[in-house]
Amino acid sequence: MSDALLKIDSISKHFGGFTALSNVTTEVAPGERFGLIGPNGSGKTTMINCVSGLLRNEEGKIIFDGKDVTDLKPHKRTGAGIARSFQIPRPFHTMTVIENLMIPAEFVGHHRGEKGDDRAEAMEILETMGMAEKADDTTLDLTQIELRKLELARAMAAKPKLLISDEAMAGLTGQEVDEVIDILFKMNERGITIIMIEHIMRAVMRFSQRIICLDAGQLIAEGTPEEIVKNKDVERAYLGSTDG
Amino acid sequence: MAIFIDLLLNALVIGVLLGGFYAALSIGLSITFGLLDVVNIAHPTMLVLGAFIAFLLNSTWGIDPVLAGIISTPFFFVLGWLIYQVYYNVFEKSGAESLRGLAFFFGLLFIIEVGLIIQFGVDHRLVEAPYIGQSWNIVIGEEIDVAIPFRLLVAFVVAAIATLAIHAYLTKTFFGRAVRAVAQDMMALRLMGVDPIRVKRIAFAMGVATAGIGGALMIIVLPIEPSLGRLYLGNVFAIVVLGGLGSISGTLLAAVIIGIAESIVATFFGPSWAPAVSFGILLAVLAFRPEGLFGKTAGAH
Amino acid sequence: MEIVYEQNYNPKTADFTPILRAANAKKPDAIYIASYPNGSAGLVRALAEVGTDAKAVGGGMVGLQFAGLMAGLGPMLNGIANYDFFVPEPTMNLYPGASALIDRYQSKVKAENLKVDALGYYLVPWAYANLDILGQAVEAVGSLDQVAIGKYIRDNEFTSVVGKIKFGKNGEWERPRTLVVQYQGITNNDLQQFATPGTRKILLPADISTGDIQSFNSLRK
Ligand SMILES: Nc1ncnc2c1ncn2[C@@H]1O[C@H](COP(=O)(O)OP(=O)(O)O)[C@@H](O)[C@H]1O
Ligand SMILES: [Mg+2]
Repeated sequence: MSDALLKIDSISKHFGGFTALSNVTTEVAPGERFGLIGPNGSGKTTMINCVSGLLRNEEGKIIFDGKDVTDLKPHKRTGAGIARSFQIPRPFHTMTVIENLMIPAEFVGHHRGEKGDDRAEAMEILETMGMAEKADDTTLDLTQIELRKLELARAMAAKPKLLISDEAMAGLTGQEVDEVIDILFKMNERGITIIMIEHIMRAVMRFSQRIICLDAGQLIAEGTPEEIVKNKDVERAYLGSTDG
Repeated sequence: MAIFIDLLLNALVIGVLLGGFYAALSIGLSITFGLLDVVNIAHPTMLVLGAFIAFLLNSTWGIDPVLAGIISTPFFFVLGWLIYQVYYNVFEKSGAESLRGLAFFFGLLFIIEVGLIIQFGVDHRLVEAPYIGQSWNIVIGEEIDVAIPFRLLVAFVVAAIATLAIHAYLTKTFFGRAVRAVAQDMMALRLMGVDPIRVKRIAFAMGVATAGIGGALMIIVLPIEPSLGRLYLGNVFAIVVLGGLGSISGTLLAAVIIGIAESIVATFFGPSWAPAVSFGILLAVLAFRPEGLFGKTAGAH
Repeated sequence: MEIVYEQNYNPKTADFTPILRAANAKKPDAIYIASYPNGSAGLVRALAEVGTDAKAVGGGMVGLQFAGLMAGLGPMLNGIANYDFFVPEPTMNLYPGASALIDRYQSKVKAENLKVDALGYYLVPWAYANLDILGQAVEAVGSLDQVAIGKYIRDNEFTSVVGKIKFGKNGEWERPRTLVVQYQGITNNDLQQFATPGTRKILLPADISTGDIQSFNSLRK
């Protein structure tokens, strides 16, 4: 795994005196479906904020695609190929669905010096999500599941190598969860590496090839879904927390 | 009856023209304050600076004031660029923009004003152009004719073109979309591969650039003196809020509504009430639509 | 006298044509305007754009005496009758030293590029006289005792660049000196025309008048 797409090398993150991430090291291989689990407040969002650049880790390094991106600004990291969705959907609410996709499509294309039909590409992404007919609606009219899909579609529009999906399924029905998993599988088939952060165990276990578990900012387990299910530390972390 | 119709028609026509003029004064603020959340209270004073530049070019070389405004617009773009650079590095970056940022623009307002007083003195200034003081008289019927003052017509046409161009730029281009997105969610925008600071800097510079042409229209319509900006501060903010923060077309429409209301009130009820009308309309609209006429309600965050 | 229209305007008014139209609708014989510089210029423009059938227009319009506004408004001023303090009409030469003072002022403004009124007729002679009278009073009293200075000024007649001045019981000039002038014969926006006689004929006071009032429209082309 020396040619990992993403290397997280002993990163730590503190908020004042509070340690949110403590010396976490892991790697994600190209094309991998990677699961990130852990009880609420264990540091999952913080970790991917460090990866996407919204937060700076005080210690450690983040290597993406062979380059050290630790000091890169978030928009540069997106340009390099890291895209993410937000746990709570935050679309640009004065714009239509397609306009929401056009921003990353055009800016990342611009950044990489690519010339292409951004609108057609954005439409194509909406089609794979089954949202083509919503293209010209404003985001205020969307349902919960549609908003989640829009988050993913917008991340996809940035033409990423790595897509990080932060709890895209919280609050969805069983059928909707399957729908989102299908979309993520489809993207993975296109060669996009995916990190899925999820509370719904059934979903992570079904989707991931490899999973890591965080607890109180520490990496406590790493392995295949089968190994994680049997892991005593993971069980303890989840049983010990109030909302496991 | 004929007199009533005559007065009403004229009030409407003047109101629309006046509205275009108000839009030219407000459009820059609609960008900087409405879209970017930067409370640039120095904007009207920047307009006065633009008016004095038009005056200087007009009185020295006889350059037409509209042309003078077009010439000075790039200068204001650079000025806006520099101002945002300072504002961002000193205030916005550290999250201290709300009150101290306001103090910054307040200071800027006085620096510009005092600079103008030192350079030009406190006298009122006018420009000369063949269309100033002339009007186009359209006879509609017996005792009914509409007089369209050319200075207002010029201001209206130029303002309408500028406003529509800015509106098209913001809605039709990829950079314009990023400008509309930047105030809503800077963090999300960062993750779309966009540098929000760069977007804000360019957009702010665009907003300030309107002071070039807007200032030229100002001196075409009325005599100017260095402290005039403060007089119009309330009105331009009222128009931007009335139109809905972030909506360029809303600003244009709000400006026309205020223009018509002021002109009707001045004609039929007494001119001293006219300026109070803009705030009256603003209060009435905000009571029913807190987001303004064209503002979009914020999504759940 | 019947008042057919009386309104106040707000200093923020950007365009005065609706006001003038509303006033014209009442078909007045005369329009008396009391305005500050913004309003004065705005109304002069509105008069050019909308016109009026009133026979006399003007009165207490502040600002039209300023060099900058006079030059800027140019021919639009023709026909307006307005108050003033000092104009370069021949009868004003009765005031000894006034034209020498104006000459000195104008050449100083020009030589040092001062950001003040370029002509200086309106306020300079009277401002000079103000201080001159105060100076004469201080010298005569021989101290800075304000009560004594005040009494001296009230009791005596002074000679200064604006002629002989004596104050009446109410503190005003014993004999009013405010001028009413009528703008006429202005053909362009050249500032120098306002430094020569004829563009502002004195109507009042009668003893120094240089012209008779003419109807507003007769002086417009
Ligand atoms: N900006 C912040 N400032 C202070 N504390 C924070 C901040 N962001 C997260 N935290 C804290 O860090 C811990 C990890 O949070 P987070 O990464 O959001 O957890 P989760 O695993 O649920 O995504 C929590 O205790 C949270 O309160
Ligand atoms: Mg989280």
